[in-house]
Amino acid sequence: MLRWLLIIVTVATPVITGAEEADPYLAQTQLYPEAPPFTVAPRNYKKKFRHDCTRCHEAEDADPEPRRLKTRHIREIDHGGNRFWCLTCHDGENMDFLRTSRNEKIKFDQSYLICGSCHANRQKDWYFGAHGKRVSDWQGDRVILPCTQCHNPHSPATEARKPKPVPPVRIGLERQQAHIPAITQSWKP
Amino acid sequence: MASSKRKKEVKPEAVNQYRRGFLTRLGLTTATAVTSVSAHGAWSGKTMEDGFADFFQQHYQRMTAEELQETLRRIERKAKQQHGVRISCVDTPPLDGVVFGYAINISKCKGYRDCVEACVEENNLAPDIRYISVLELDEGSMNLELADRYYEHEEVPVEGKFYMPVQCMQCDNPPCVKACPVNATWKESDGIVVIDYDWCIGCRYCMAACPYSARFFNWTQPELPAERINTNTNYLGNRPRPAGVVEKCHFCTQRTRMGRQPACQEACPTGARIFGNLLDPKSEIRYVLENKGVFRLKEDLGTEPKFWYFSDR
Repeated sequence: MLRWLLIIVTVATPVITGAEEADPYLAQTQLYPEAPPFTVAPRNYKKKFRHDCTRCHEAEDADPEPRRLKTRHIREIDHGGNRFWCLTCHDGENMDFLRTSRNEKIKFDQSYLICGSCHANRQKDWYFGAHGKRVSDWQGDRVILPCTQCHNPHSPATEARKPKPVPPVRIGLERQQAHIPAITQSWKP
Repeated sequence: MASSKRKKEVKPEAVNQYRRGFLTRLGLTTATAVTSVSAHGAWSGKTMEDGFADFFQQHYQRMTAEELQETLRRIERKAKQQHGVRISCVDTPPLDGVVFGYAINISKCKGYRDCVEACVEENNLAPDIRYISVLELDEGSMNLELADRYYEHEEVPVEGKFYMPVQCMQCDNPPCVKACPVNATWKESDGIVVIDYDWCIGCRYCMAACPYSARFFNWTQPELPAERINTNTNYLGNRPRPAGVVEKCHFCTQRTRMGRQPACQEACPTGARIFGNLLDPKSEIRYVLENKGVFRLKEDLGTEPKFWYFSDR
């Protein structure tokens, strides 16, 4: 009797509570257990980011038909070459979460779990520190930035910007105009 | 006999009188000169004690702990008097079990020069010195002679170019250390090549020896505006330097030996810079060296730099 009760409870609990949210730490360690441990710094949003998607989307699920959206949403997604649209990453049923390619619910701060499903090499580099930025000291706890801190997911390419001023040429020197004879010209296709 | 009589014989008392008078006058003149001169700033406005102590200051590696502390206090006094700023100057010895390494991802460097500016602010550089130079090269070329370090564009990165910052490579086999005639520069146990600015004689042999043009000479007294001085300084690093000495990047010893990242790494917005301990097998720098296609500049010279470059392709 007790054994049956135990079995029923163990099976029923996940179904009842609807726990689909991926355990972030489990996902983190399962991907690359040999990576040095780290904490992800919470994303610092430059513009005021509205986290209250459910204000409009509580009543019903989002329309799954891929289309160009009108109100309050980003129209153009410069990512993926028109192969995906909003609900590829956003969870239509609960808009306060994102979804991975395996339809797991993840939080906005766990964006790295999605990005790696296409950008696996970059994600591996990020786990081990060859990509991304470590914002903590070189010694001690490792805190790294999430993908979305540097890459806007709707248009991830890094934008060009003005460089800091040109360094001064020291006294007695001149700015050298590189004299490029034909034989030393760098290879061009 | 006739010649000896013609010699004028001076009496001993007169000689003494003459000698005494001469010495008195000499003594008075010297005393006046010294007093007036020190009052007018012959020791650059320092006290005479500080002036003498500066002159007789021992090499960093030969100072006792007490002498070092006195030197640090004297440096703080000098900064207050020369720049009007109260700085703190400490000694940062190397950490055990640490050898520093640095890697730059040239796929991610966009040529912003944020690192250059951060270094200037952190290390109290004279207005015309930059420890870091960002080189702009054509894609497909590694000809450093054609690199442009004075690029001025409205926007970077420019199509068809890539960017490579260079700074002191902290070589493991440093030619500058071999060239220095007075041992004012040496490699420490954590791999950083440091300079004792007060021992440097300014001959610039090290600048001639460095293949990376990473060393810079202070032709004049550096003019540091008081409000921009970084007051957390250390002896072998970012304290205000005098005229006539050579300086260079030292991997921000005032920060890195306290566990912090160098200023350039912190400033880089794209995360192109990776700094860490080469002796820690789990460090990020070790992962980069073991898994990415890294290269160093002027490898054929055998300087063994501790500064690598790699790309994502």
